[in-house]
Amino acid sequence: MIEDEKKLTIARLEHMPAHIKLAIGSFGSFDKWELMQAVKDENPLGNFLVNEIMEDVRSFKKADKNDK
Amino acid sequence: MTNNTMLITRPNHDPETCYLYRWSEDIINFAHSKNVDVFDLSDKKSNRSDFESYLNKRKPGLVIINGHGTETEILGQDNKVLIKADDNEDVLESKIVYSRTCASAKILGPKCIDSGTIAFIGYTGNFLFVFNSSKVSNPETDEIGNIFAKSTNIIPISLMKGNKVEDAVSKSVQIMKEQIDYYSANDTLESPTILFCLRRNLVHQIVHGDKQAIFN
Repeated sequence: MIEDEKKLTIARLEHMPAHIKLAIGSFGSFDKWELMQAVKDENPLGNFLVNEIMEDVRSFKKADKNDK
Repeated sequence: MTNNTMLITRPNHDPETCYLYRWSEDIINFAHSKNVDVFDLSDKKSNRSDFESYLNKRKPGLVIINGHGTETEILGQDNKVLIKADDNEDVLESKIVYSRTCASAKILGPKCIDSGTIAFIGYTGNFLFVFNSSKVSNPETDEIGNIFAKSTNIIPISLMKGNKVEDAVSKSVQIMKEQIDYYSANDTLESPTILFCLRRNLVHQIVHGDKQAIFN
């Protein structure tokens, strides 16, 4: 896992409000602290999150570039 | 053209399936309003034996599946297998299927089409949603969770209205895009997480098979 991607993912998760949970299929449902811990631990849930968030960032950037 | 019967599975054993279970009530109510016969495999009835039996005997034209999934499996109550690739995907022959499960459109979906499923709508990755953790016992009152009910329930509802598969999916895509626009413009505390889930679901939602197919 690339350290910068991990940091960016955790930075995004830090802004998640405490009263909501993210349901991620068979992984289960998690609050922000559980998600951040998974990223720090680099476990399968954490790896999944980093991949999905980075994909989201990349596709968002691509869409933004195409709009310009 | 398929027969006017719908089968729906809705296991209920964890927060994720609890939400899908409640969201499905709107689908069932709509089916009743349209005089569609409904076979509701809820809770423990969401098992392989009952699932296969109903499919073989009642031959529903539309199958709505809720629950967990993988690239090769769809799971029922207590995460027991309902359908597995290279095992029993042929039970979905001649059906239009909406699989509101994770990842099953990746490998299982195409295999279903090879085995005679008319159309398979699902997700190639994990289906994501956000919910208010204080509303788990009453998902219907969870405004955040209901965002995802709206953009997914529209698929079976649109099919029951007689729309083509591709039109039902387009309506879902349109709602997700409108929701993305709304939460991009209205920056609430929950917006970034909601937007992340909507954008990923939009990327992963896919149709295999006959996009021109119509239910009933």
